[in-house]
This record gives sequence, C-alpha cells and structure tokens, in this order.
Amino acid sequence: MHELSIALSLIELARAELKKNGGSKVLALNVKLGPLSGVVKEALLAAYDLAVSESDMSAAVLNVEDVPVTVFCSECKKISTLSGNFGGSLRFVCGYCGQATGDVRSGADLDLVSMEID
Amino acid sequence: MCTECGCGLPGEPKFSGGKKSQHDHEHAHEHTHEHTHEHGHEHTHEHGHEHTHAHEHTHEHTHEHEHAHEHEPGRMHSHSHKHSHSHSHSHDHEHAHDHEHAHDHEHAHDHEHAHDHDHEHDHSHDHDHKNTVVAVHKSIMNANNLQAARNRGFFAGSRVLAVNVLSSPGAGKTKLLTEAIKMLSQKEVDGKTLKCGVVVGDLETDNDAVRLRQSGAPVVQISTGTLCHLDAAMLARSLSELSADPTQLDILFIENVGNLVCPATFDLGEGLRITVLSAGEGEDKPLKYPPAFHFADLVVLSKADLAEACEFDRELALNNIRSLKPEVEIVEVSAKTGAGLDVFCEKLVERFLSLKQQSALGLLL
Repeated sequence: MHELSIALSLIELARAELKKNGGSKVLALNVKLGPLSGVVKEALLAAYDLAVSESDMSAAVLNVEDVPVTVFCSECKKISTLSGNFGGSLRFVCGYCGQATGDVRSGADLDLVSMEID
Repeated sequence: MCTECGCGLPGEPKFSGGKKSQHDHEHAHEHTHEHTHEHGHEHTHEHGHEHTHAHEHTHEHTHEHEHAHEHEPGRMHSHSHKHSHSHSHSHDHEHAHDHEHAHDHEHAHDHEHAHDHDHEHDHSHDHDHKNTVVAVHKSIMNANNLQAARNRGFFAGSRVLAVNVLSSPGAGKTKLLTEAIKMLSQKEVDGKTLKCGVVVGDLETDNDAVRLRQSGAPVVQISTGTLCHLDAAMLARSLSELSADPTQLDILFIENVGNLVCPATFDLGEGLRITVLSAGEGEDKPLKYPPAFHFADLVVLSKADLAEACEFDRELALNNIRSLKPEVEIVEVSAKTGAGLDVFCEKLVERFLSLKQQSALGLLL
C-alpha cells in the first residue's frame, strides 16, 4: 500500500477532528495498526514525518500501536488470537482447533483511536 | 488518489449514462442525502462485512446532521451541524453473512447527546485546553466507509441488490453481466420481471457501457481517468446519471475497474461482492491476490469453455479459493456457451429475495 497517501489521509482526518473538538493544535495521534491492513509500520512513520514536516502539524507525534489478528471459528465458536507474520497471506486457522477460517475479527485495523490536543 | 497504490491524480472522474444531462454533482449529493434524512436517527452499522474490520468494533453514529460532500475522488469534507459522536464496543457476531444492513437502534446511546454538547462546536471553551485527549475511533479509510454505509442504507431502503463485481482486466465481467442480465430480465419475482441496471468503471472509453446496453439495461459508464478502482462516492454520484430511477431497480450491478488489487479494499456499500476468475488466469491467482478472493461472497470461474484448452486445474483452483475463504460460494460459468449461467442467475435471485425479505420485516438491520 502507499503509506504516503495513508499518512496524508490520516492528517486530513486529524485536522477535521481537531476542528470538531474546537482544539487549536494536535499534540499526538494514537493509531492502531493491524498486520492485515497492508500498511507497514516503519513506512507509515517515515511517510508521516515527511507529510507533516514544515506544516502546522509538524509537532504532532504519531504513536502506532500494533494490534493482533483475531479470528472466529465456526466450529468451536471461539475467538482466538493469532501471532506470527502473515505477510499478506489471508489463510487463517483457529488457534484452538486448527480449522480453517476466514472470519477475521480484528487485525486489519488502520484506525485513528484518539488524539491529544491543545 | 488511491490510498492503496498511490495512483490517480486529483481530477474529476467522468460519468456518462447515455442521457443528455450535465454532470451536476450537487444533484448526486441531494439524491443520496434525501434518503438518509428520512429516517430519524439513522444508525448505520456494518455487521460481518469482513473488509471493514474497524466497523466490527467501532460505530459511527451520524444524527442527520453530518453531511459528507465529495468534491474530488478520495477527498471528503465533513460539515457537522450538530455533532457526531463515536464510541467503540464489540459485538459478538454469529452471523457473518448478513452484510447489507442499516440499523435503526433504540439504543441507550441516545443519551450520549447530552454529553457531546460539551465538546462539539462550542467555541466558548472557558477552561484551558491543556493536553486533552479526545477519542476519535475512526478508520483512516473513514471517508469511504462512511459513504459506503450511506450507500448500503440507500440500497436496503430501496430494496435494491447492489452487486460489486471484481476481477483482473479481461476475465469476462462485461460478457458475464450482459448475458446474465438478459437471462434475469426474463425472470419474474412477485409477478414482476426483474429490472437490472449497471454502473461500469474503466479508466477510459465507454466501450463496456455500449456492450452492456445490449442487454437492455440502463448503464452508466464511469471513466476514472487514472484512478484504478471505484469508490463509494463515485458509485453514489453515478446513480443520478442512470436513465432509470435507481430506487425502481431490483439488481444494480457495479462492474469495477479491472484490477485484482485496489478494488478489494474499497467498500462501495454493495450487498453482494463477486470476484471473477477466468480459466486462462491460472489456479494460483487466488493465492497471489488474496484480498480479492478473501472478501468475495461469490467467486465465478468464468470462460469455462476454455478450461480444457488452458489446462486449467479446476480442483486446485477450488482448493486455493477455499483455503482463503472456506465458506465461499463458487460457480463455474461460460457466458459464451451459456453453461452454468442459470445457476449463476439463480444465486443472484436468491440473494435478491433474501434482501427483500429482510427489508420487508421493517428492520433495516
């Protein structure tokens, strides 16, 4: 994915939220990033630095929290957390019984969770 | 700009419905907005729509007041007249297949109104803003998801089955849809023949629209210019170019730009998503392009008449697809010979009936 345009969308979203909250300045952005989002954390951080440099958002720190992949299994009816590097593969198996499942409950996150503003 | 691959210069896509109308985008805004404003507190929830995972956990409530206007592809301006508030909570979903719902909830959430007045549009904040943390809980793909939710609500309310069709270029989408529409137009549901419409996207030309019109259906061609996929806003705008009233359609097909990458991550607000794989493309295509198959409700193996000549390993293809999504439905079709076309059309009618039934219960859930 194109981390630069993601960073630009993030900044636009942050600006809109800042205005809605009547704030004057963004101090920090808290983002949750899942491995299935297709976005690489380091690339996003680098792209973000580039995108905010010399702008009114240049002081806003970007905090990225990794979130795990969780899947729901229709066999054992449980949600399990999967670890490991998926590398774009979307083949998942239930963490309990090993049954193949396509029901992903989290892990594709690309969310602006909260902002610290002034 | 495509947030997937970065392609696409800012610029207006072009819409042509074969009508002599101007591209007045303002109309498009009103068109969709009218429908959403009819419902008092419209809460749109995404349940089980796998490619917008964020919505599983976070809900965006827009109380009639927040308008999103699209001025260019991918850019949204939000005007909040009152406020919007977001919160997150998780749902335990047992029914992963119910996609096309918009909700009306009698939620205790309503009392959060009072809360938000303290925050929103209140420029007379007397207290100092010292390092306040504000909750946002929005997907960075928020703008598209929001419009997709509006589209979904519109389709559900109008009892239209919107079908998003993805594939690589040349897999046979146009031919498949042209032949399917011809067959569907002969079928009757509740004593009335099925009415189909199409919105088709390509970078340039309206060649596909011309082909599709041979089926007799109203067709809008979206020429994206350089953008590699259709998004929810483009779909919404295209509806006003249709020569038929979209609310009077039964099935609206959306033939996406031929591309197995980017379209997969853009929710259009469809009720059914189909990915087409042709016999000449190879059995490992699904493994090479997982998202397009992972997020499909139905996979069509097209050009079945060429399978033998291409030495297409059907079993392997089926296994590969199922490894990505065990429960996905797969249909094999040759639009050219007609083989399997009736099965394909039956699946569509089934889906349409199920949508009608859900909506008929008065629950836009």
